[in-house]
Amino acid sequence: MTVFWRTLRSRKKSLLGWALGLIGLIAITVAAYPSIANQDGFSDIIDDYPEFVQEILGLGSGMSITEPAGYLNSQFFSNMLPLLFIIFLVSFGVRVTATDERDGTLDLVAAHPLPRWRLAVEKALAVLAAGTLLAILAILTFVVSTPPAGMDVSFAALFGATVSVFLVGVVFGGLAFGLGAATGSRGLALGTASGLAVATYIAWGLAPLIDAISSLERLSPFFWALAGDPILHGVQAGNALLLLGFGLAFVSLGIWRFTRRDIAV
Amino acid sequence: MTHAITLNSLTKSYGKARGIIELDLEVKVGEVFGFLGPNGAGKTTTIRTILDLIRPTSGTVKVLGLDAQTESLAIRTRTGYLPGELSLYEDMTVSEHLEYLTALRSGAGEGRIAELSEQFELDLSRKIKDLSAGNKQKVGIVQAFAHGPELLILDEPTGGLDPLMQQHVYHLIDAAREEGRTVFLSSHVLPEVERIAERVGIIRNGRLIEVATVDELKDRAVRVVEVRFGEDAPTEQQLMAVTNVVSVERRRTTLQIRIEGSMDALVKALAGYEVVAMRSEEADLEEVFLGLYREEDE
Repeated sequence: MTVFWRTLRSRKKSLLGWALGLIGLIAITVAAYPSIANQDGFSDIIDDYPEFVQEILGLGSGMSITEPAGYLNSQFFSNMLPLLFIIFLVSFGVRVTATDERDGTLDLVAAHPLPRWRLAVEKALAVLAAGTLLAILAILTFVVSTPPAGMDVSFAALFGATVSVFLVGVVFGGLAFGLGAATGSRGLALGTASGLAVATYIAWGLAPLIDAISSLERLSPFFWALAGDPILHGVQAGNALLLLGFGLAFVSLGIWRFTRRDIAV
Repeated sequence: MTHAITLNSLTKSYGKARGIIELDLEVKVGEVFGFLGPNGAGKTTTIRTILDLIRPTSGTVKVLGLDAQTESLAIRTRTGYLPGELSLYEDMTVSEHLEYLTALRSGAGEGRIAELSEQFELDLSRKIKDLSAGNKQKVGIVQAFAHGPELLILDEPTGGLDPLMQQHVYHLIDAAREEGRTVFLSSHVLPEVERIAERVGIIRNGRLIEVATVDELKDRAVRVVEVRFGEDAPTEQQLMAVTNVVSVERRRTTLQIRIEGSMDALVKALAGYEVVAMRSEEADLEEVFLGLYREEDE
């Protein structure tokens, strides 16, 4: 597992920064909850918003921003947290594939006695491990910070909601890794993955507004991550497996292609 | 197994421009083979095909008797490689980097890193990003030689090194040969190949235009022979008729004769005249090299 550990260690500082930032963001936002809790006026304003706006804000299914589940969903799970996981996993996924190749550093390593698939698999696992570490830290921070803020949210709900949006990151991170491994093109991998992330986020938010394309929301990973309201009912196994399956498929296809192509100088 | 590397009709096409065309080449076990050609001729492409970093369009590559594609892992275990454009991980220290590469070989060569680094005056504690190009090249050389591979594939090994360090590399290559290892090195610098290789292959525009020993090439070289005659001297026309003589130029009593290949006929022809003094210039491989290139141009 030489490549796995080396890949993780190469992002040691970045990972530390991400971890501290994530913990700080969650802790501070959760700590702000008491100032909004039970402010019915605030809740009434949002109730007047059109339904789709409430949905985009993470306040569908009758959730209220002045209650713990609604507050967490609107502050983290419907926007900030999936976005952070996407940014982290996409940039790491591109870095270990296309950037490594463009910098020319892949050349020497690929000439060492390690099968190409193994080289790629170890890198993919390292990216996944780093993301998982962040997800675990996020869950732990929620678990520790919510009770003092007067929130009563079950572990299953916090775990389920975090895992679901982490898997959105896995889908786009997997796509970025797969494209980077398959083509060696940094621009293509980064552009496609982040472009699709934005497009599917918009599709998830806006498609339901227009009857003709309302079913398009089902093409969006965001839909599958938030469907079934994991923040209320815990992880939705089928949806989670669907997202994980897409992420793994992108990675596998990329590695399959990587083992069969020329490595650029 | 008689050959370290066998290229059979090896072709690699990149659209229209670069690439290599139907290379046939055999590198013997235990020899130092110089792969010579100008930049962009296809040297690096050939080398990267041998290591399965790129796949041939057609033709086959055998290395140490193994198929370069299906048995690449075994080949890479037994091979040391120095890339032509060496890129290292900038954020690592020299020792971290060398340890990483050694770990990819299950630790083979670990024991020699300290010794080789000392020989090349390489500071193990420095970050790669703080190293000069020459020092980075030294890291590349250390990692290629450390595990004592049967086959060394060195793409422009002395690039960026000062003359003293170049000598160190030549000594390493000499030592490798004495230990029975095979060295396949590319270069665009002729004296380097002349100094360390026994045989050379010359590549140009993707085609192998010559494979010969260094001595054979030298034999084919143009030499300049200056002869000062006494009373009895031949005419220019008489000398031009002698086998292998290319040109004759008179400077008062001295004749400057350019001759290609064996001097035997000339020496025998001169024996009939009064030769006061004679001087022959060492054949210059550069001339042969340039000559081969000119021929191709025509």
